[in-house]
Amino acid sequence: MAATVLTLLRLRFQVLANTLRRSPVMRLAVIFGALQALVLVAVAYTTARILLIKELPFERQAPWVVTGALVTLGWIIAPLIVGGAGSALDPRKLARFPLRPGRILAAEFLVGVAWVPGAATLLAALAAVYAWSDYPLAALVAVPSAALVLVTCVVGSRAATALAGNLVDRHGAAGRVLATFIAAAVMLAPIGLALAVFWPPWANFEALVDAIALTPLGAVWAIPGYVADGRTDRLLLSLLVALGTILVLGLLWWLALRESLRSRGAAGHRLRSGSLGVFRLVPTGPVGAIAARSLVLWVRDPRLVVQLVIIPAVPILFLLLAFAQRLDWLAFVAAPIAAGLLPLAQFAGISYDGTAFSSEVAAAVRGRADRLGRALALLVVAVPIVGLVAVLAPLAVGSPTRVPAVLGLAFAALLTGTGIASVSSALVVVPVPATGRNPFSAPPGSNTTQVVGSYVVTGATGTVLAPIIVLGAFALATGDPVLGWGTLVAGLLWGGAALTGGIVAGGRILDQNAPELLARLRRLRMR
Amino acid sequence: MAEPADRLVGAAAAIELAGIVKRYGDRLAVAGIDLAIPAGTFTGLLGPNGAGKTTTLSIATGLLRPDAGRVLLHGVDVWADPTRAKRMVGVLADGVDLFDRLTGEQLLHYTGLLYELPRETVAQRAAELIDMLDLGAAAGAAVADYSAGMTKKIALACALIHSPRVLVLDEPFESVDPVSAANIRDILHGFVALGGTVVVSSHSMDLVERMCDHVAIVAAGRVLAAGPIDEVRAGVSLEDRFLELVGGRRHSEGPEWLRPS
Repeated sequence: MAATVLTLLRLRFQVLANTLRRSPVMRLAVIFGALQALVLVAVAYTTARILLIKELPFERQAPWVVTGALVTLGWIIAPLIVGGAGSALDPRKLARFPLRPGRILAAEFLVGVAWVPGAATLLAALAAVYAWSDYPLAALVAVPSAALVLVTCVVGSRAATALAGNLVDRHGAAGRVLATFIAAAVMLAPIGLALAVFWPPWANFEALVDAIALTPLGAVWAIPGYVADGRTDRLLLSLLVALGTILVLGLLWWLALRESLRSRGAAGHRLRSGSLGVFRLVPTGPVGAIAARSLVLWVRDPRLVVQLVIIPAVPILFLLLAFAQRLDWLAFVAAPIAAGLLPLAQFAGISYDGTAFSSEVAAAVRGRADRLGRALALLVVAVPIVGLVAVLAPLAVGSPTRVPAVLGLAFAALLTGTGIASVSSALVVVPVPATGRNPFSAPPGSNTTQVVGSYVVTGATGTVLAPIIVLGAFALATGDPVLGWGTLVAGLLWGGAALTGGIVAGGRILDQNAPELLARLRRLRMR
Repeated sequence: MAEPADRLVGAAAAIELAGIVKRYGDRLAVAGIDLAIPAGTFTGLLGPNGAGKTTTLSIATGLLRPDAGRVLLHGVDVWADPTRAKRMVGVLADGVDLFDRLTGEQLLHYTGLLYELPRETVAQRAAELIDMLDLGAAAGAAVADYSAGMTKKIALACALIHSPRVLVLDEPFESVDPVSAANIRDILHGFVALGGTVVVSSHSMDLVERMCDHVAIVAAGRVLAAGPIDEVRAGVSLEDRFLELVGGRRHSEGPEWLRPS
């Protein structure tokens, strides 16, 4: 058992080391990720220092438990949204070896523990020792409870990844949406319930924190505080919930893993022959071909379906917050932010083609045609939804006069983002899961490259968009209809110009370096 | 003996590679290849694993930029005028993904439209190719669900749909069943009989000896011999000639421990 696990572990880190040796970008990304983690750990200790000054145990417990619950939530939700729990040990790749699920499970668990996010979480959780250093017993208990925090986070994140992967395999796009909503519901329901029971939260904040300490997300974080406080009954309850959570998540993970070791490859959905779908509707020529292909993939490729969920998910989240916090501006920015995120997800869109991109190189397709085709597909999907949200969200908070400004901002963000992505995806190729793999399992190093890349692209989009953002902000702040309509017109013109520029520039780049891009895709695929 | 004019190549060459060099890092994959493939021939590119066959064919079809050298397709420089050159070639690349979430039929239409064929032409040719390659039952299923042989066949259909003058096929028969292989062979022979040029890479001697009229033997990134098959063979069997040229044959009975008892 131990030997197998060790081999798997070594395999995982060998893959990582080879990746790093090959690519300086990846090395930079890992360093960047580690720095980011260090900053977070430093924040945790600074917070602990501040907490140490607080007299009442409760004053320490409240921020600690709430933040902790958010960290755990992040571990579970993040791989579902950005797609990647950094697993080179794809169970389906290992299916042909006589391995028991338990061993893969153990190896994957150790990988999760022994990598940057795991180490950072452990260090941050250990800050509890410092925060309660004037209560020796609590400080002592904080050490094993930090270990439990790490176990909960890693097991939770892997369980979510594995379960979601299986759902998508079986149900395609629907499975993906289902997975996100189930995860969100299961994880957020207890907190929502606690909030509902203790509404408004400021009336009885202590009871609310106690309630969060009983949820799967918060329980494990509450242990040192309850020890310091001497509240044995609460301590036992939280401990019970914490251990139960680990047990249930572990079991779910094991079941999902066993399932994916059994079923290999996606189940085929057969269409009638002669049903060409969108290929019948698009104009002839390369632009139409690429647009139609992209549209089919948006619906049928789980890796891309994953990204589409952003469009409804972000506005819903923002609107909920807007209602809960009575902050109307959250409703105004929902559509523009969702509009900017979708092109962002495609900042390295060609990576998802893999070497299938060679079909375009072989046919000597002009770069501009490729850019235009992809942009059209993205806009066909995004424009109706973004438009709808941009109209409905301001109406929902009772501000119809601000609809034009929100529309202008949203379309400007969508068009500009698409323009920027048209350039960046002609330059950048990142490792993504191959077609047919679990879309939530990311190749090693890809998380960090994705993050760094999306920072750069977000920065570029924000810079280009700045004039419209300023104009839109004035329009929203004043509620002036003239400024609002002005934002709409200016946003469409500005965004249209940015998109045109992006397509022309990206097309020119692609004309020059399409073969090199293909060579890089080929190298990525060979690992 | 070939005519002197044939040796001079030029217009008669379907593919002309001159001084091709390609490195991957510090590994020399193609070490200066000069090769002219005469139009109207059925040429086999033979070589051991890692000889540089796939790299050479990728360069010949403009999928990979060489570090040095020139590629002419029917006299058109692939890197100077890619659009005109590439319209003349159909490529079946080995180890390259397809957009496998499309159905077989959609994939064919996609490819046809990429080459700017009118929609009616695409529809008609797609139907004929599907029929010819016996893919009818699977035309409406996602290519991801195809077997290896069916995937090869749909990729071949994609290489044919724009009616190229030159076909470059990397390992076209790998994992294709005997019936389909025979059908594909017929198609290819017909294509050559009508004046087209076919280049297939393979490491199967038999296949090349049976199908091709010309052969080029490549190893370690160089052309060791090229020309009409009988000339290269020089009286012995192709396999003997190949082993003689490439070398590296071991005369042993395998490792000590490999003794099923």
